[in-house]
Amino acid sequence: MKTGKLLLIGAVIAPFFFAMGCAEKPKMYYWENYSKSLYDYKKNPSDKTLLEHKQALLKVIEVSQQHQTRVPPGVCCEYAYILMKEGNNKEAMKYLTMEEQAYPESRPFVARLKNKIEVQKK
Amino acid sequence: MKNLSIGVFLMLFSSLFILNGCARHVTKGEKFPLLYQERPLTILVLPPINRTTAADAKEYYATTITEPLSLFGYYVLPIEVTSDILKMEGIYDTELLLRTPPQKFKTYFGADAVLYTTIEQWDVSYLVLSSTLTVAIRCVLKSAVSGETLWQRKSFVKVDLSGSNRSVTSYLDIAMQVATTAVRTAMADYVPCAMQANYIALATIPVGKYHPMHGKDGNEKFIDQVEAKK
Repeated sequence: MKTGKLLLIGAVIAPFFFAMGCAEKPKMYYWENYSKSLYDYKKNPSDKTLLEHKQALLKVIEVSQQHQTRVPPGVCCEYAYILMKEGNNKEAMKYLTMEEQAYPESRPFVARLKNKIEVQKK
Repeated sequence: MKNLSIGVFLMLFSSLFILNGCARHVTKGEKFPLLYQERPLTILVLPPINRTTAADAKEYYATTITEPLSLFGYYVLPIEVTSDILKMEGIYDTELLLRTPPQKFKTYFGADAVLYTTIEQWDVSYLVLSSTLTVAIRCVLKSAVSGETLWQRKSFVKVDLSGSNRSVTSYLDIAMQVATTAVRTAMADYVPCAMQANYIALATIPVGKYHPMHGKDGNEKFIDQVEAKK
């Protein structure tokens, strides 16, 4: 009877250990503070919160590179778009190309943004 | 003889259970056949449709969807950039968004599918001694090729903001509790709840190309938790 109880407890506890094991696997993406800094910027749009969001985007790119995982979708593109708005087209082009290389399916959209930069140059 | 009849009875009985089980377990492949057929890769998340009176919900909710959706394996076009472009093109308001055929977004953004998100509830209900924060959302994924609905799901998250149920002994005590509830509500944040609601909704979506289970989850059971709760 006692062993039966022990087995039951074991059966209940074991899945938790499995779940814990899963959590330690390498992450699919490193989003870091992205959602939080975007929310802060939306809540209170200012140069300060925009700068913080830019830093958060850069952090996502850096941390992903450190872990040799793909930069999450759209992050390079979003960063490039902010740079474009600031007139830093050269840097923007660099990050747009990064997005395109990591995600070939982003090409039609990235091409549209690159086109915008080309039009501005003329 | 008696043993045999018990045996037969048990067999019949157990087969009923098995049949019963089969009937209720729908797989993801059966539930969303079009999604498996089309295998969309790039998703355009449209600016949220806000059905609530909370004017700021639209902007705030939009910050919570990219992260979960990406973790389910899809290439999510950057919503900040796409929303800005849609605004410039004059298609940001709900009416116009709903009137635009999904196929339009294929040509402009290169999207395979379009995600329509609707905020159905975003509020705190005040009762005398407690208050509850509710975020309810609805997600519909439509093909940018055929315009058909590929996947859809509703979900909600409710949080009791009043915390522990204290027994009330005096009027003064009641006043104190009302005050704490108000303070807690003011600090309450909808955003983590919205993020959680997204994860609950997305739990049923067949995963995309960048997820290790891509193309292998068609036989997984479709579990509708929201319906189970009702």
